[in-house]
Amino acid sequence: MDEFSVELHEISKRFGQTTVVERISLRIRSGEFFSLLGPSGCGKTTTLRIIAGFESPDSGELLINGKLATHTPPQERDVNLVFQNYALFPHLTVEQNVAFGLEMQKLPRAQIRERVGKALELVRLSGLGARLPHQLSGGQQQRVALARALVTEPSVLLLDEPLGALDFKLRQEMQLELKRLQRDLKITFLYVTHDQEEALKMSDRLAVMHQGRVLQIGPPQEIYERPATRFVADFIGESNFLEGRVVHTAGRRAVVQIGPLQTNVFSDTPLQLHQRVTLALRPERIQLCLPDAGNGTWTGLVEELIYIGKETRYRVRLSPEITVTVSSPGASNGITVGERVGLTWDPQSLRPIEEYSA
Amino acid sequence: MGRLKRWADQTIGSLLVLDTLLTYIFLYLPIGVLILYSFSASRYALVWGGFSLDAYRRLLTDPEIVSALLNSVIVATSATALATVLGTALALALERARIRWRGSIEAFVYLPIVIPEIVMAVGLLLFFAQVLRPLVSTVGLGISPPLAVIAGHITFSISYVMVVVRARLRDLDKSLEEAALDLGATPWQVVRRVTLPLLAPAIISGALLAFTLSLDDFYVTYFATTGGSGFKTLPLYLYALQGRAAIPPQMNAVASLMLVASLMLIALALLVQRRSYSRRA
Repeated sequence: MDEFSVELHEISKRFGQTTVVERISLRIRSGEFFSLLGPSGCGKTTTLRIIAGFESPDSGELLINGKLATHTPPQERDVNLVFQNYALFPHLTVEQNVAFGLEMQKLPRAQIRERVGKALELVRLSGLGARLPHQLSGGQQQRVALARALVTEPSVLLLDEPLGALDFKLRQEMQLELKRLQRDLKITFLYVTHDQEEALKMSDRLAVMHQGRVLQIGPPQEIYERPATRFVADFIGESNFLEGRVVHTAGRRAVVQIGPLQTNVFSDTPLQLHQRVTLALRPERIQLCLPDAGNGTWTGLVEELIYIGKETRYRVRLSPEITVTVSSPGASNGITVGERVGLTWDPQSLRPIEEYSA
Repeated sequence: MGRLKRWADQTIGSLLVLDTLLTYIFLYLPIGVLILYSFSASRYALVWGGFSLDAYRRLLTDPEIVSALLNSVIVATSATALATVLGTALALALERARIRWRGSIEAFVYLPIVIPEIVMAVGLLLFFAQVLRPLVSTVGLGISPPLAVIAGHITFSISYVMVVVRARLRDLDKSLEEAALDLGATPWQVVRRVTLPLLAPAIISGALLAFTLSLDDFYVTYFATTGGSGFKTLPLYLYALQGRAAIPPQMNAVASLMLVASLMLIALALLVQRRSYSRRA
């Protein structure tokens, strides 16, 4: 088995005047659950369709299982796609839908029947084989689409927002089920989604895309904890952005002046003295404490307070120009609007980020 | 004021009802009279002679009618079969293949629907006489009148089949064909296993439409058989009947039966199409 199931080298695709995918390079490991995450129109679906063979890239190379596949027709690629709208054949029964790929491989009837049965069992649809797609619920149709794509045992399964049409509860359930399937079958999953929570929850690694480009690739924790660009920090989870200037450096540590405030920053690549820098700080990584506590804590005025059940969100003004959003679990514990509060955080949570100019 | 308005509303309302009534009478009275007179006992088509089924009875025994009916069915069946295949292929090509000058090609396909049928008929006459006949005679073959009529009917039927099939093809979710490709089907297998089965209702109703048009056609048939070949379809037979000094009552009966047949075919076409849509929903 090759180390990489899918490799993209500098793939670009234009539709007319607009560049939809711009010099994308990705290497997806065998057996990995990899997600392409980005807002709609970021080029993630086009990238998936290039890998499936429905779009042909204008430049760049695509390798599937180590073999050049840039211009291989879709029917000859060892990848199957689960379509966003499922694309079940409406004139065929569930069984016939699932059997389609095996029939194309001209397998003997008995073997087809056995494998279709197993595939339906795998997605827990045994007993519904004789139904037509329109007689099934959305969730069941989704499972048929999965079974149909998995039954031929492709080395890569491509999934294009497969849970987009399902309601919240079912979506949560299917997320777990997809993850289970992927673990059991050890097939490479390439998953396209705009839902950051879904991508974080399910992926071994993910790529964040924006305007046809890949901004950052890494495991969920790395993407969330160490966003490389402002877009990533903002799109995945939520971030406060603080603009400042480096006034002191000592190895990996630097002191950054933000308006009237100062703070310590630790970064992987040392910051330069007098450099302008943007810092990202996630609302849930800030704790409220007593005001004027010193020790590098900041003090501000609660301007706004919203209770949303699992957490309370505060808008705290630190200076006439600077406000930050803080979220802490549970209710507000007696803190009210207009009150002075202190803010503190683990220095590792305060990340210098690159400006990504769109 | 209120009374005046009510009076005006009522008057306009009654006028509208009257107008609708007159329109329907205008549209359907001739057909009603035709059907009524097809049950006439008179020896003349244009005279009422009391109720009878004689005209219909005579249909079965009149060899001229039987042969015309047979001709019509043979022509309509062959023309429909070929026009359906060609029209469907054309729809697939126009909708799915990458073609240059798609717009112009499309316009040319729609043209037979809009140009006057008589123009088409005259054109076909000339084409057969001056181009096709000399051409095939050089290889020692001839074109029999039925073949000429069938060829003529195919030329105008293709457009209708194409329009009906294409409308459905445009509605067809492209991802279904992509899914088939993705699962390893060759492009030809995709057409056979996915596209054609899903188009079947449209293809059937296109074929029924072509069949109806062929049964009904006069101009093209008339001009394609010019030269006194004696080959007659039902419309040509009816035309010949009305030229006689005393028009026999069979004319009404044949026309009535053609009406019923056409209505049934159209109803069937609509039914097939509606069923396919309700199944999709």
